[in-house]
Amino acid sequence: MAKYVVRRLIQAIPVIIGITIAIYAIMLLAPGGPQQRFANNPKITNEQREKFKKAWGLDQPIPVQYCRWIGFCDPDQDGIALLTVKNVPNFLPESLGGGDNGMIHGDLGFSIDSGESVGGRIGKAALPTLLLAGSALILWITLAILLGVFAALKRYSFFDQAATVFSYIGFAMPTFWLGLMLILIFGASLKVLPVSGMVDARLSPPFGSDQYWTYFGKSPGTAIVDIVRHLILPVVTLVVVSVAGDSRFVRASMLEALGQDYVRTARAKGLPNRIVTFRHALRNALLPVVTNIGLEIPFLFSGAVVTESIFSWPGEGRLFINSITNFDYTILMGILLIAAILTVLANLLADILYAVVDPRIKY
Amino acid sequence: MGAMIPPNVTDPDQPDVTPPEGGPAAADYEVSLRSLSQWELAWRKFRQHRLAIVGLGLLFGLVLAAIVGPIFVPFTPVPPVPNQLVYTGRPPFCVSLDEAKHACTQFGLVRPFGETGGLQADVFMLVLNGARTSLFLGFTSMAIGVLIGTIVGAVAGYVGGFVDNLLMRFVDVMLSLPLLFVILVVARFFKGAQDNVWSIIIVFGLFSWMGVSRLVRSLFLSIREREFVEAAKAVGVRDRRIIFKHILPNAFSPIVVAASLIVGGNISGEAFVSFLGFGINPSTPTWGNILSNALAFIAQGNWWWPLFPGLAIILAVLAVNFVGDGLRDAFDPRSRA
Repeated sequence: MAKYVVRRLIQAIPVIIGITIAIYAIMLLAPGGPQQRFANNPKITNEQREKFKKAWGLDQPIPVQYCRWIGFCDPDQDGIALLTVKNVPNFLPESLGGGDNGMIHGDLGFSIDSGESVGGRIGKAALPTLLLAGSALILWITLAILLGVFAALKRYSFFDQAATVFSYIGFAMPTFWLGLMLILIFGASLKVLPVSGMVDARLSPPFGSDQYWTYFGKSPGTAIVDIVRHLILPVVTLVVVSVAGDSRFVRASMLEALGQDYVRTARAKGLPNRIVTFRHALRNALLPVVTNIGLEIPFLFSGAVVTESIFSWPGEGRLFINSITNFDYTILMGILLIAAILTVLANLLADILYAVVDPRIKY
Repeated sequence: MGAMIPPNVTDPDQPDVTPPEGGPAAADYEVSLRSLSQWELAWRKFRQHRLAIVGLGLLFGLVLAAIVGPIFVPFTPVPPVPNQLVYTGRPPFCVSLDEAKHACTQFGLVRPFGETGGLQADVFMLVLNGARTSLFLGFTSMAIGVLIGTIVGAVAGYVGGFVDNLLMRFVDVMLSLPLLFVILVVARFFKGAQDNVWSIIIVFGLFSWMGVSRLVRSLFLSIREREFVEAAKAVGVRDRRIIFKHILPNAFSPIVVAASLIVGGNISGEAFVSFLGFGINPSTPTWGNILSNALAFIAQGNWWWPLFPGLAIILAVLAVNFVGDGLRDAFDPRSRA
């Protein structure tokens, strides 16, 4: 088992390297680049422009820039400098004499727009996104399994037909449109749920600030209720579309399991229906579902982008959209990289989990 | 010379009928049992898939509306009226609106889908004209994606070895990128000031080939080992001819099924990108960019504005998915109709 995990991890390395190259290439192809912001500014002299290029390393050839970005090259020397001045490989941690630059050292650079560190900006937006995506994920998996299993058990019943119609329509529905309609119904017409932001601005300081946490400490009950109320619509938006596709998948997988010989054997032995369904069929039916959910985690990211921008949720998705609008390259690269690596890890986890839960898999 | 090679992967010699022992004479037998071509068989099964026929009808209706509609209701951008920028837009069938009470005072047979807010435009006109761009984009970008995917998959599967490994690792990388994020960035960076429809089509085409290439590669890997390919090689047929005339036609039906899914995905993908304001400019209406300002007016209860373009997207994606389901069943040799 350990061998299998190690082998899969090693296989993931070239993919991650490929991802960094792809992201870097996309940003290189983008028009202008960081120095473009100053190109037409008459207040900036040519000398200052050169200084800026030098400071950002933009005077170096592209492979060197890439090498510095991933952290294998020493930015204090010209050219491809894989060793630091102390003749230590640059990719080693700083404590061992290596460099402190590049993503391999956890340094994603500085925001072009605000000058803050990219890691800090992304870190600040992480909690709201984790809250949103995490609650959506839990609800999504639970609902998909419940809906799929009951549709399979009551095949061709009214419930099954209704679930089928729901899944077809839900699958075809664009996430952002569902969000709009929910705002329209629950926010604009019924006025029962808040439609924007994470906290009620009249009651509490903005989420994430120091004042917020003191407020949270004083009255945690009200604060949590406030956040949950703001969570409902975005979570529903995210969940409906995902559940629609996955409940069909669970249903198909459950139907297949129910038709297997070992289920017939279990029934023939006289086991109670409940045990046959949940212990024999369901456990096997969920095996492919595990992999499928691992593969769908990336869709949670893209769903989060649009959901966050509709509901003004202060997370990574909104940061991403703002950064696109402002051409904030470094933040875009940081978010793309983190999302891509998370995708690789999710796929890896799904594979490993699959091998763990299914003893028939040889690895 | 068979005019068409059966588009069936697992079982190319399917209508393999042998005359029963002591049956009618050979001549009679041939006359009475003309074997159906694979396409006829597939169509027969497709016809029995009720949802697929509904989907096909819907799709025809939408395409027809997209082609004919703009001729009768051409897209006419409304020039901004001074001091009226916050005008909320009239609901469906409303001739005049009492803005203060936000209620319709007179109804009539006009604007069945209502009016947008802001630069008031007829939503019906926008949706009809948007159909043209959205459907065109869905199908064209699919064609680009399928073309690239088929070439990459065919090369990887047929050549194998190092080339295969390289191409498939590239596919792994592409699939690990958060595609809609990347599309957003690329669309924002590469869209020109004018004629950005094609740049968006190409962006979607360039990011929708990976699934097809994996599929085509796996098909090529299995078909490559079959006897008829071996026979062709033994006779001395060139590689290019083997790929295009012998293997590809056999891989055709799974590709068609995969293609149908790409169309739906790209239609809603474009809507997503345009809704966020990074896609096609509102000067060329699409179902996505009609919605792009709807959020700002939602507090005034303009339900008709987001409703109809969204329904159009859902209908189109549903139709394409139904047709895809039908095609899958029709081409699946294990399902018998």
